[in-house]
Amino acid sequence: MSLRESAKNSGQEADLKMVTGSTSDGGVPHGELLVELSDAVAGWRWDEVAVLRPRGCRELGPQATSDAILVASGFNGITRVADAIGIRLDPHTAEASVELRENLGLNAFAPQEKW
Amino acid sequence: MIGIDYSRAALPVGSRTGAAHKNTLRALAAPGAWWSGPERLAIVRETREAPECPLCHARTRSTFTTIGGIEHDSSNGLPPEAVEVVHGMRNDSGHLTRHWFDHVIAAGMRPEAYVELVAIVASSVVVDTFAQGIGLGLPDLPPAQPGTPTPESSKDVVDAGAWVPIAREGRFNILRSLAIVPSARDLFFGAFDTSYYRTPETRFALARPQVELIASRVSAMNECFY
Repeated sequence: MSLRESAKNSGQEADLKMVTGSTSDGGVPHGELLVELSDAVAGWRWDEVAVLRPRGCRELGPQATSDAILVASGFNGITRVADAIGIRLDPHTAEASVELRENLGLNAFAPQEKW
Repeated sequence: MIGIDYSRAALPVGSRTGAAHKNTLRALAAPGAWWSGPERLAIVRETREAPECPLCHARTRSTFTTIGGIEHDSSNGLPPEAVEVVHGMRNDSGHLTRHWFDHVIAAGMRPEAYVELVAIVASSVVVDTFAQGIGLGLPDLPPAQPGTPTPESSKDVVDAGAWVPIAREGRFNILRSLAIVPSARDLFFGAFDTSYYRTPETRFALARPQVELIASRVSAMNECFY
């Protein structure tokens, strides 16, 4: 499920720009903190993560902070599978992400030389 | 206790995740389909050491277009083409290309061995990232298990435009991607499954939009098209 779709289902409106640029909360609760934590975890910047963990425990709770790190860790792996296998975008994923791709320039991550 | 003890972490870790990551470390030390236990652990060590490679630092944001003549900083006894794959995946995965993959295969690596290598690197990234993220540091690796690889090459695959054949059936290409080596597919998704909504019993202390935000942000950070 896409960010926008899941936000709508939750009665919220997500600002997609926060995915690639903005660090505002973008309409997702605690979005700013989650973006900072995602960046630090996926970038293996452990000093930053060490600072963000207690902040996460205060603002999100310990279990949610652990879960956020878990999701970021999983996607740090699965993006590498997608990139190393050279899979194409399937119709289900493409349909769910047309707007996201256009708004955020994600298509630039798939240059012609990829395939 | 094999390699990892999440009970020492300052943050709570679900029992399914703890068990999954322990199983992953155990599996990484065992012979696979195309790589032995010692070789699989050497791949994990190479993945951990790759960020310090001077060559990778020098060519970050380049296109990884050649294999010949390139020497990575490596001391784990892996073939050069395996080192190339590990460093490419670990350090600049968003810029891997078909041309790069073709060079790896031309250098002598079977596509099935490549797929298993991809699964090993990605699985170790999942577990190592999480363990460090919750403040535990890198898990100790278990001793390598003896034995020879048991070659696998599934026939239930199809050319779907990816660099290697993927599963004949399936809604999402990412879930089809490692199918040519079933044990490699199981290795990776065993490590990954509790990180997303892969099974009905998966629950997070985060709302769905928060989980999707993290997933999207990490994908964008890694410049992943998919």
